[in-house]
Amino acid sequence: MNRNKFFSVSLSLRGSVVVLLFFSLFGIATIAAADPLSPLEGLELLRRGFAGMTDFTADITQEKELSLLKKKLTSTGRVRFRRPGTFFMEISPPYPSRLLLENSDLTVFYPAQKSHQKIPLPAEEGLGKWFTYLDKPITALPQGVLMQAERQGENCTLKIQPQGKQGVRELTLFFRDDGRIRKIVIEEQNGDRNSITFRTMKKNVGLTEKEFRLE
Amino acid sequence: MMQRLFALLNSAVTLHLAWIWRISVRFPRMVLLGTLLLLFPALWSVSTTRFEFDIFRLFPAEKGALRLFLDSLEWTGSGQEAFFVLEGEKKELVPAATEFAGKLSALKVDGRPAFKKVTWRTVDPAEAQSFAAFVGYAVTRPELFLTPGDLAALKERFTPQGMDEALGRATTELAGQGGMMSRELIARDPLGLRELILPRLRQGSRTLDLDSSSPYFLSRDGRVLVIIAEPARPVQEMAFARKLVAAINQARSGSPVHISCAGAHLSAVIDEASMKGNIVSCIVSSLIVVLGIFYFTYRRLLPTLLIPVIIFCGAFLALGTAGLFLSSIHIISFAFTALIIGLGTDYSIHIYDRFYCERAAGADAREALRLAITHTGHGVFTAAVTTAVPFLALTISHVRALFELGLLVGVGVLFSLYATYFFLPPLLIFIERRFPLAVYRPLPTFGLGRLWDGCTRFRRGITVGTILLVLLLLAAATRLGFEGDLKKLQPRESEAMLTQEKIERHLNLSPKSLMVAVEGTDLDEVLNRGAKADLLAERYRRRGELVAWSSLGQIINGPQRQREMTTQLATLLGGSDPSGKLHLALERNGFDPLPFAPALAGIAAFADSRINGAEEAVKRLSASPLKGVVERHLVKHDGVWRLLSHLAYRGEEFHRDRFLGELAVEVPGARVTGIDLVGEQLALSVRQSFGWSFLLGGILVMLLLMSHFGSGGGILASLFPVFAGGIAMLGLMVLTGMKINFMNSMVVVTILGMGSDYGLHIFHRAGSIGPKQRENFIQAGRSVFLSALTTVAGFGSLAFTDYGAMSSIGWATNYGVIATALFSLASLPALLALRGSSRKPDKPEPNRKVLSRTSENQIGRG
Repeated sequence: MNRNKFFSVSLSLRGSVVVLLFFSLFGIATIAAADPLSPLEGLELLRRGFAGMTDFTADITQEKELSLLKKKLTSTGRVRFRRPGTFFMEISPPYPSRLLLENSDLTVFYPAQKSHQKIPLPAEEGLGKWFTYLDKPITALPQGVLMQAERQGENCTLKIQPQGKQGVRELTLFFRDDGRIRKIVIEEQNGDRNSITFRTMKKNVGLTEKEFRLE
Repeated sequence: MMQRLFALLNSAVTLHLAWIWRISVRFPRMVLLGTLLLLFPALWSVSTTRFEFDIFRLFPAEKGALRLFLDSLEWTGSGQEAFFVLEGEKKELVPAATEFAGKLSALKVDGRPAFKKVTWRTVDPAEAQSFAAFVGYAVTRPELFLTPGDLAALKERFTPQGMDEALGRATTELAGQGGMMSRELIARDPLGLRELILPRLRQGSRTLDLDSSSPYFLSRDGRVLVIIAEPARPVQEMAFARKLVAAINQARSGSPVHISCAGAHLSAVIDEASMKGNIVSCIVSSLIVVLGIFYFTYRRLLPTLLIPVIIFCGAFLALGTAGLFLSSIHIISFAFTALIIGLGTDYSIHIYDRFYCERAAGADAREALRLAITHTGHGVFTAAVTTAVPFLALTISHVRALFELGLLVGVGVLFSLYATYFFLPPLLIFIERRFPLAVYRPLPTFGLGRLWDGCTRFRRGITVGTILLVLLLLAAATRLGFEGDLKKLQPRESEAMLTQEKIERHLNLSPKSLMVAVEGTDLDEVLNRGAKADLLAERYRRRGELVAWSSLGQIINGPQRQREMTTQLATLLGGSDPSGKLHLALERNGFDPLPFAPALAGIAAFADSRINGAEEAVKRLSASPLKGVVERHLVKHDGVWRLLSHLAYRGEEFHRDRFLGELAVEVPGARVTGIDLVGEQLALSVRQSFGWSFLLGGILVMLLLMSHFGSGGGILASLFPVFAGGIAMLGLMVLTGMKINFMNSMVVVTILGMGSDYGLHIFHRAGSIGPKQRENFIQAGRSVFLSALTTVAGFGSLAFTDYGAMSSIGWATNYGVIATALFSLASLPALLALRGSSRKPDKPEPNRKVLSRTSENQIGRG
């Protein structure tokens, strides 16, 4: 019986990063924010923004500062989401790649090499858990993370710090008080940093299957 | 000389039977006490005996293919694993597998985890770090992990253009959502050399035909997904296995997809339940039928109720006796004790029938009983001994299946016989005193009178017809094949078996496989010898005889191959500095060389012409997610390394014997196993043991018959039906699509032992020409008819069980017993009539008093 792993895998993605990234995109709806903003209220803003939404699309600009590279790696692309649990992210040339997350199955496609990599994320890192979490009003902060929220005028900031010693050190969400996300910054334990800025977000545009095709 | 010896033996038997008759009638309490004195130690013996369910334990496994097969199950642990097969639509399978795998991981038995490990994905993110560590080790040792054919691609990677392309791909991966794992891999392998190594690893571990694009153990048709789990405790602990199966059943209930299980634990539990259920239902139903037949014929309740007592004593004392010699008894051997139900009843039928007939003819109770015990009892004694002896002859076999069967049935037959001798007389005396019959009505003849008339009238036609029929069935029997596939002997509806079949149907690379084992204490030497076996396998694969093969040699190079590789690598590099070139390329493509220091150092060592120790490579592989490859192909047990290569083939296009011959020459000492080889080994060992036992049993039966009859006619009459019946059994098996197998081959002994009784009894009573020949035939024929009927009810009912082995035994028994009974009841009278027409009539049968004085002559010679 074949029990070997990673035969077709030369790259693995941190599922938690993707899920947090996805989670941060919920708040695109127009929702009035409370003042002052507590972490719980910040999360609830995002949750309510997600309520009533069937899909969304947005263009992104990504800036990565990695220890392996001497200079910042800047790329553009787009993200798409459709209920119940399909997330798509495309990075445009010169570094083309496409990512599809369906529940806890993650597939990455590199058009230049025409190669696929499939990675099953642990069930707890799949989208299902987050849907369950967001189905009802948030009355308590998630366990295992520290959270801080700030508000300056119409701009809000929510910092999420997972308590683990590996992976993500801090995730910062920048969004308007109407719930519209402006930017996400992910910092990792080794100092690597990823900043994603969102533009031209549209929700409930009726995305179809073909918008989620990898090839 | 022989005649005098036989006469002496007959006298001894007659005296012995007369003694039994006296004791049983005069001292019934002593009989009861003696029985209890035997039953108590038997109870102790049975209570300390355990039952085996593993079919492989029925056969000798000290050497050969079976030994290697069993060892490999233990070494690799695959004999202990549980396999779960999920069936459904692809989109449903993965979520269901995720949920079920979670439940299995959380499953507990006696408060402790039920499984050591649950594997359900080919890719496990939790093992990413160890995978990256292994990649870092492997890509800096091309001499260990690459083939000479890969060197050109390796050279290409170290050209400026190759390095820029590889680093460009790395940058793309970094720009994606690769996260930390992607960065780890790129830091350890910036040029993506793993792309050269991983396909080789994939090939080396290719054992199932999986959907390579899926991270799960998913079949290519997307309809079957497999989860593998390693139970926390060994299969031999049946109490644990039962609890585990119960917990699994709970875990899979309510799943949206169908989940079935296979594996030693489940198989053991299900087979145990299935076999016990089969045997118990068979025993109970056959007992009811047998008692019903007896009661319907003789209409007497107490003798009918005595039969279960006789059967119990026979079977229980046989088990107790076997327990003195054996610490465990296989359940299949135990199933053969069902024979005792039929046989134990036969003796009561013969003796009671004679008693009844004598009473009906006017004899008083004591005289009728004396005649039944000492006269008919003499025939019964010879019949029982000729039944027991072939079975007991099987105890010379070193095949456990034959030894246990022979001992249990042989001893059981004798205990049943003596239980009948000792219990029936006092009971009949008691009945005569307490519930005497006013009138002894004629017993049912079952049409035997008309059969006698017809057979004697058309004796020539029936004789010719019999000969033609036997020849026809003999011709069919010559086409009888041997069924060596042990799976076909297992329960047909067993979930474990059906699940295994599903795995084979959906996921197997090919229907057949072989495993080659190369052993030694020095791993490098073992790998070098294994490489020769690999070369041979590859030649066969290229010729299309093998579908695929896998070996550790496909993954890591032995010392010899490494030397060749380092030489070629040095030529390839031509004194250049690959590490320096990579450093420049990293700079050129915007990378910081500092995090790549370990990779650069490893690449700098390319030119060192080093030979890596295999043990270090194995250790690294074992510490990575690829440890399954090592576990499947290399085992260290008792200080000896065992390198295992797996060869997959379809069927006859693979010239297996030629391969084995070449392997013996090229890799002396290499051992080979496979299901076909195991089947052949078992068939050979059964055939050899069976042949000797059959010969010994046959000689002893002949001597007994010669002793009993003292004439050729009686021996011929005894043996003709059984030989014709044996041929008919084999011919009918061919005509109904059956094959002979390890289990039903034992029925040949059964038929030899039991079948000779039928002719013996007919010849006793109806062998003499005279006015009472027809009447005697009806009496003896009725007993034979009822004996056959009770044997079919008692043992032939196994035909309807789900257990393949037992079912084949049941059908073979039915064919053999029914055919032997027909040849005894229809063909033998015709032959006797033919013989009679060429002779003068014998003297009339003597009256009762004369008969009682010349018992041996009357009963012994008919």
